[in-house]
Amino acid sequence: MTAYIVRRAILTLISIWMVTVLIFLLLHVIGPFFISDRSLDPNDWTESISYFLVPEEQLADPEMVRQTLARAGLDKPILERYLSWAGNLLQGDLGSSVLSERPVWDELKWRLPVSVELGLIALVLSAVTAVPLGALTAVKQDTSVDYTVRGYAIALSAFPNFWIATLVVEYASKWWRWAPDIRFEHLWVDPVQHFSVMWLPVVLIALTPGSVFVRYMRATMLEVLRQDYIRTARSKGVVERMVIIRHAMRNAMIPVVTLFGLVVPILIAGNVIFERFFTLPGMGKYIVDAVGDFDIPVIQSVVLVFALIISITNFLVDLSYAWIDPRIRYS
Amino acid sequence: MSEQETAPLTEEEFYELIPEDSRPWIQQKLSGMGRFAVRRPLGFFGGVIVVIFLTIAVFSPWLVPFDPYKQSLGDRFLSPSWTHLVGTDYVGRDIASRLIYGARLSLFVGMGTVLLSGVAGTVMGIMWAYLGKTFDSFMSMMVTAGLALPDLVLLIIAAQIARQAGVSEIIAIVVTLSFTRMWGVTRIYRSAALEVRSRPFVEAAESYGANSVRVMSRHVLPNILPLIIVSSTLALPNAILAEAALSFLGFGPAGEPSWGQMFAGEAREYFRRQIWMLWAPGLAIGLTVMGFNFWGDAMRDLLDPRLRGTT
Repeated sequence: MTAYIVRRAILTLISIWMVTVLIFLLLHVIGPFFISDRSLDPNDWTESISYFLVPEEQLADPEMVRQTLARAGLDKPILERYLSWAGNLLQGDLGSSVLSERPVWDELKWRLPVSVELGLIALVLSAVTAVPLGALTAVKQDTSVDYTVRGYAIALSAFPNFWIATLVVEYASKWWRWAPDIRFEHLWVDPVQHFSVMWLPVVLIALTPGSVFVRYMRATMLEVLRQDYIRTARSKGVVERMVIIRHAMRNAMIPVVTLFGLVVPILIAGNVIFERFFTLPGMGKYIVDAVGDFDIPVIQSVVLVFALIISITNFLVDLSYAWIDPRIRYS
Repeated sequence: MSEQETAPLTEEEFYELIPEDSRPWIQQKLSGMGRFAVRRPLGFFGGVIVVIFLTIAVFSPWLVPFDPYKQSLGDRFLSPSWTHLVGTDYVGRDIASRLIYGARLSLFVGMGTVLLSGVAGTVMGIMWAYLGKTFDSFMSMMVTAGLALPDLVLLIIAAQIARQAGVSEIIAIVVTLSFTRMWGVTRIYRSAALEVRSRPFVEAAESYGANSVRVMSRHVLPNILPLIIVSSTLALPNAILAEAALSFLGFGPAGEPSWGQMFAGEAREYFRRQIWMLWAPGLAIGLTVMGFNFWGDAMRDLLDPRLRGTT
């Protein structure tokens, strides 16, 4: 097991490094290359970046442009830029926004908890409701319960959650003159206000992973219910409820663990969409605004944080799965 | 039983044993479809939606009743009528025409992504299952890194770069989506290829000296083709949803009618006066995605029953 953990950890570290290279290439080479009329000269690329970072009235002044670029370290050669970014990252320095000049870390301190809270509560909510529902549809296969729950799950995976959100907001205001509360307060400042803002985005973000959990749980549960050990449990007289809960659901939930890795990118996408929709000060809103301004230091840090979250979850999912099912470790 | 009686049939003899269907061709096809409709009503329903969607998307320039870009402020917020089937929006554009052009964009993004990521995933997946240890560890690094990418965020960045650079945003969306989606596909195809590789006929082919290129292309690929078709069918609606989300956030192709953008931004202030601006694109996205999912599920059960119920 230790060898497996070490191997996966090294793999995860290397993959995180590869993600930093990729983000860097996208923002410092590919993007500027296309924006600068496909010039092959990296100096031109630097010029092209300045058009997005420097306020328009300062563009005429070469000295101002040079200062802005220098502040973000964007006037250096490409390789040096990467090395200094990576070096600073290793020391825990994420750089500063070019426009507001605020350190990215200062922003993350406030924003990361908001996004993590949204994502985690949504994940727990969807798992707690959808896993039993999925099991229920399998137990009641081909009954009206099965059809109703599955119908909702299929609809929720087809109709985008941001459309459902728009629908909810529109009809709530039309019928009950109710509008979602958007006066955000941090949890530690005003918990009541905090949750009166957060509950709706959390529920909306939970819809998509919920529909995934229902369908997957149903499939694995149906498979488990056909196994010999279920028949054995029944034939030795175990109460049906215990058969379902203790013997079937427990085993059916093992493959569902792998879904957590799959669901995290969905949650991040949900964060990006709904933090903008409900103007919540989280990571998603931060990066959407930064992309609009082409604020390179912010973009690369936030993408990296997202990639870190996903790869760490994937790592933990792999480990827990290998722990549950020893066959994995040796493949 | 003597040897003669059980002598294997030649191929022609075998086919002669099958009674010939004397009905006209069209009737045969129709009864086949009827059987499919009865046995898998949802799959049939999905297939109908897919066909309607494809027809609308491919023939959109000839199908639109009005110019989807043309604003006419005198015709704002018209109710649905025979001229404007789902009414007009807040600048007087015909919503039905915009839906039809939106279908074209969705199809292009969906198809492009599925083709690009499908080809890349197939090539990488099969090679990963075949080539040696160095390539194996290289690929597991690439896939682990690829699966850690936040797709919507990269899509926003790529679309923004394309917009600033004056490059087609649609191409940027397709390329980025394919890049983020192909790693998962690669992993699925690799495990399928590994499974095929362990079967006896591959061993037989290898034993009479077929080289690995031949084994990969003639033996492994045809055997994972059903899986490729099914997973592509189920990946297409995902790409459509991703494009809709991007457009909803305001980073979609500028000026192009897109389903996700039709109920976002400025339009949100006018739902009171034209609720179809909200319902029409949402139903279009939902029904199309649902159609592809039902159709894909039915295809999976027909092509590869072992995969039944895996999603």
